[in-house]
Amino acid sequence: MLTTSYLTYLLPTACEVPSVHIEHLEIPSKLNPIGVRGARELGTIGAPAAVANAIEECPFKLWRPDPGVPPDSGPDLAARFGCNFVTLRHRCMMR
Amino acid sequence: MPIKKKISVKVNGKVFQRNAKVRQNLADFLREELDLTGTHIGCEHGACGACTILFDGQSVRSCLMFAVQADGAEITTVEGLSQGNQLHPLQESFWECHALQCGYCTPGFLLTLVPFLRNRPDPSEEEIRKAISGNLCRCTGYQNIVMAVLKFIQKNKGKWETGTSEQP
Repeated sequence: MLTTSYLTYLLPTACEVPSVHIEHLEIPSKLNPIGVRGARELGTIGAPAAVANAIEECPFKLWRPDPGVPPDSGPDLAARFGCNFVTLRHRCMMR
Repeated sequence: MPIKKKISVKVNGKVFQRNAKVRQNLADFLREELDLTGTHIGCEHGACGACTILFDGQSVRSCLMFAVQADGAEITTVEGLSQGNQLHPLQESFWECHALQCGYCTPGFLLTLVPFLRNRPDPSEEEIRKAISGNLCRCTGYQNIVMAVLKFIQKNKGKWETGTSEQP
């Protein structure tokens, strides 16, 4: 093992990391009705919260993305997260 | 039974007297004996800067010192930067610029920057980057840290007292 400490396993420091400007390019996929693309290896920590929020905000109780999460199942969804629905909403907002 | 030595150290304005284990490093002493867990321990061999504190007004890696070496010294940890709920102006700028991601390295960055900005109140971006090059951010979120410093300089021009050791 050659990289056993931060003296040999060199992390980028403030001098190496360039200034980055971020722009969002929104190009919906044509391959599915809602235009989503794969999340690949990015963190998906926000995804369940986004789903819960979308269900919560949905004005029409029509969307049924997953039999496990029916439109009127806020409290059930919350139970799966081990909290009440108010807490779940709060957690979603914190994310 | 580890050998202990009685030391007296002033941390964040308060004097503490403790029997310190002679082999205990200062970072562990602050965390375990004084319960000041704001000082984070990253690598424990002086490479990452997470454990940086102010030791008699100077940035020091607390993992590279023994607790007994702090006898009679004056120390500021990240807990000593804010006044109650009132954040230090540099912490305010960090908050405004989202200058932390996971936050593990933040206390070290703050305590590296405070004496740097005291000695050099109007540095260039390059100088800021050099000043923090000894602190590692595993999230590599340096850009917003630099932006926070620039914002701090812009907001506190002339207001922030420089050259005193009283105010960190």
